[in-house]
Amino acid sequence: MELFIPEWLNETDPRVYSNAKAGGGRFLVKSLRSLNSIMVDDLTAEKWARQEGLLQALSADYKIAGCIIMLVALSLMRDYRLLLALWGVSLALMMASRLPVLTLQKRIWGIIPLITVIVTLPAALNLVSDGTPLLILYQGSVNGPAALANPIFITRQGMQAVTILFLRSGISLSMVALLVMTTKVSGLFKSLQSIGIPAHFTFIVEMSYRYLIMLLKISIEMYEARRMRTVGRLTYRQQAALLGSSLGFLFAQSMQLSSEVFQAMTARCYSIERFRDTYAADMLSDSFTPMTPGQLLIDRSK
Amino acid sequence: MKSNVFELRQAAYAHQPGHNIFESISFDIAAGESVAVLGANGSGKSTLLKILCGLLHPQAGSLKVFGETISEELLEDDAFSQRFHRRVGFIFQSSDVQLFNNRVEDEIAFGPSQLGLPEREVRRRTADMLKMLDIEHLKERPPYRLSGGEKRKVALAAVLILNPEALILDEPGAGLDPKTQRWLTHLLLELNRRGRTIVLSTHNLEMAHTVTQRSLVLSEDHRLVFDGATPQVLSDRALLSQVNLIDEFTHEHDEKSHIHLYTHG
Repeated sequence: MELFIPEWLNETDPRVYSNAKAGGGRFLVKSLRSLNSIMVDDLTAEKWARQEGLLQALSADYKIAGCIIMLVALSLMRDYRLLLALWGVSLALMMASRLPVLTLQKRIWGIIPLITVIVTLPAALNLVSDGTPLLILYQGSVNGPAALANPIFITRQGMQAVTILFLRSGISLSMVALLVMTTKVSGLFKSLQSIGIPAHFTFIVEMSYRYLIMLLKISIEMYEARRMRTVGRLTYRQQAALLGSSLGFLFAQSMQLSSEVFQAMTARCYSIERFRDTYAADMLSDSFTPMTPGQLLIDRSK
Repeated sequence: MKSNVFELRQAAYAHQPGHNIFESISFDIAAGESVAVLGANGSGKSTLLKILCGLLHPQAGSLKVFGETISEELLEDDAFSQRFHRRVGFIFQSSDVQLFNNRVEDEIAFGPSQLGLPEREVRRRTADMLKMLDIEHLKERPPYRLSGGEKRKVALAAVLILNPEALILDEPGAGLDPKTQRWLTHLLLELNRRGRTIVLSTHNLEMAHTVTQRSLVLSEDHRLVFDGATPQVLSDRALLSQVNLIDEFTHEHDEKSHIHLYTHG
């Protein structure tokens, strides 16, 4: 077998090219780190669920029921002392379940509740909520229509409402985190059926989760491959092009994956008509009526 | 005496805390060597290769490549990263993840274009690669529409154009037809003959036998159980069976007993 080998491939090239400066590759490293951390989170989530602890010992059905009751109670509570007490309960449960309390608290309170505060803070102004001044932001001598917005202050009542909203969102997240981290994914999906969610629906969600993790693995390899071949500066235009091609590639991969999954299901006697009929039957049957958590607990204790 | 390209010392690696893949693995690979990493599925071959090319970093122990200790921080230095990635090429098991441009020609030209080489030089090298890998007729095609063997050729061209001194290949023969496998074997032998260091992971004992002089064998519990000449390990049926690289099956034909050896691949 005759092979053509170009001359330049016979010699090593020790030159360092000028285009090595500037941090084009950093966005690839950052992307890789975030993708890897999601993967590690997925792996460690199962680790917490597998270890021994108070909530891990409880059946997933009870935990789902408990979580729903807590979420409903939270949405009805208006007293921040009660809310703080509930937060205390969530901390105690985390410790009893041997979860990483500090890390979880940072994650829980650092994102969504903070965004909730930023978004709802304007509602604490006297322009939206009437009430007694807590903090005056602007006071000037303005006449005319602008005088309506003079002074501008944060009202005590508005601030209380924002605080309650902040506490509610943080504690709700804590409750959901407790449920998700102490329950195996398979158990969680299975138990969703206990509250009346049709099996076909949980089946689809479970499959989606499984294939999302698979796509995540593909994304990690894709970025690793790019990192290995990124030997110079990437302009913003090139970075945007890489991002675009990544999205296109993942879309193409997910399309291919879904059609292969469908073929695999068909090969095992799956028929969309039968699925639709069963699903429709499920929707019309009593089992589709979502059970209240109370019903669920009574049902389980029988 | 040839200098070492890779020096791995007591490396430990875990994908997640508490679940070690490797606990303490050490070996050297000298310049110009061709080495096969053999092991059953899940033995850690791909992880080991990714450690060698700086995509994964051992949590304990050290890795030196071309005499420099590799760390995550060092690879964040762009000048070093450029030098490292030019000298160490990695071919992934799935060529799909490696190809991200819209045309084969652009895919191959991606590396040298970033180096700031003159446009004419980039075009010349790209044309050479297209010719070397016999894929000139594919240059206008989108990589994702190619067959498995064609994709593998494009992925090889895209890495070889950077003229790496060491080439790491993860399961290079997987999914290739016999003709393309033979072509690939020939190419790897030729590159090694011209001084390139070749490290490849494979289940394919025939490819290991033809291409490599030395083998590293990983057991199913991720330990390095053999480091020596490839012909020696390939004749050690007990070891190959122990690490689940071959399996024996005895049955009878016309009252005669036959033993079949099964290998991965």
